[in-house]
Amino acid sequence: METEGRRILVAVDEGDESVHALRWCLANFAAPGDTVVLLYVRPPPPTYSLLDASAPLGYLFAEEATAAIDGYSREVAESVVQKARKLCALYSREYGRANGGMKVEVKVSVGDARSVICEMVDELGADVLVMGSHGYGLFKRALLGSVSDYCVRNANRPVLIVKS
Amino acid sequence: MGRKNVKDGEGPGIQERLWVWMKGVNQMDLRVVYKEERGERIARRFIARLAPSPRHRKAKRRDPNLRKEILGRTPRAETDRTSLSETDRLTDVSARARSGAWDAMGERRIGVAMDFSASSKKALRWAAHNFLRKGDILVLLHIEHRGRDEAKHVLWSQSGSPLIPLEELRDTAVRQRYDIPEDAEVFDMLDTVEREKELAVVLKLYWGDPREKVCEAVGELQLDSLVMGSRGLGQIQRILLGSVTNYVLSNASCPVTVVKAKQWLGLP
Repeated sequence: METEGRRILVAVDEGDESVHALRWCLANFAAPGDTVVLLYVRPPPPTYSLLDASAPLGYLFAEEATAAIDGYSREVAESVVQKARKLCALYSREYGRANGGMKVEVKVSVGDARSVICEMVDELGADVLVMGSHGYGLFKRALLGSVSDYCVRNANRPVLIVKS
Repeated sequence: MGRKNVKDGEGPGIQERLWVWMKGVNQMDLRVVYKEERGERIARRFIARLAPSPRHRKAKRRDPNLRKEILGRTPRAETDRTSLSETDRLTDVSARARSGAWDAMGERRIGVAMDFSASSKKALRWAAHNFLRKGDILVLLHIEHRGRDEAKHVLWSQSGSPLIPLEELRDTAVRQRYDIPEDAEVFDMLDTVEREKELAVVLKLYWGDPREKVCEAVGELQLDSLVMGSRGLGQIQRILLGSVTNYVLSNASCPVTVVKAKQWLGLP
């Protein structure tokens, strides 16, 4: 079985931990010939149906507002993706590998990060999933929920959690 | 019982011998690594050997080949080593590892938690195919929950057994002494990976609570990364993660890879 030619899915978000995870992965895990797939999941835009009585009073978003929020979220996605790409390029150069040595793909998706990441592992045919971990304590984890915990349990491939 | 004045190459003094005798351990083949009283760091490598007299002890004192000579007494070493460079390098790494120069070594140290269950074997296979590279050090961590109170284990209950290189593990007597289960599959895998990727493979045993010991091992051996399997509890294996894996994920200080038992990995 070749160790080259793996597909490594790296989940990135706006925080520093995922940058650290990506950096570690490029330095220690990825080998020439692998494909690094960067996945950024942006949160879904808030939409409230006009006909739905459960919409909170007074918080029905105007169309412009929804568009603005969506636009902002896309900008954030762009910047995250660019930052990650730059990091990959930096590593290719630094380690003297040709750019073709390690391929980089980018995928931006919308939705709840946990389930989307686990779906994408299958859809993109990844061999490993690499993610950072916010490093929440026990209490925070219980309240906020941990994306990395969820992914370790539910992904169908080995998951590498890089702590900062 | 301070160890500040023990120099490398000295034999055991009266205090050491008394201590060893009290612990009821056979002195002839004892290799001990232990921490200082305050548990701050591994003080030094202490090889106990019976020196016939102070005069002999003095003669051996600053012998540079001391460790090689002692390690050469292991049962395996008597056989002929035909492929010189590789095995020399491997024994050199293991020798260095056990001589206390562990901190100074620059190779990557990858730990694999091994309890000889199916999922940990899967984790080892995954690591062998996907993670390990040429020149790494593979540290197998085996943690026994039971047997903590047996006499020989009291000696090692604090800091775990010494690092046992793979060539020693091939000997059944050594395996029996350390209560390592006879598992042909694992040792085959280790042999293959050692040969193909020119790694150094060592095993370290701990006795105690698996979760804490794994996290402790990461810090003590300064592992660069850890690979572990995950059993899950009972029927709900898809959703739950084993409690050891869960704890280690939250508390380890290095990147952890979790390979779940039921995943299809596409390995040969």
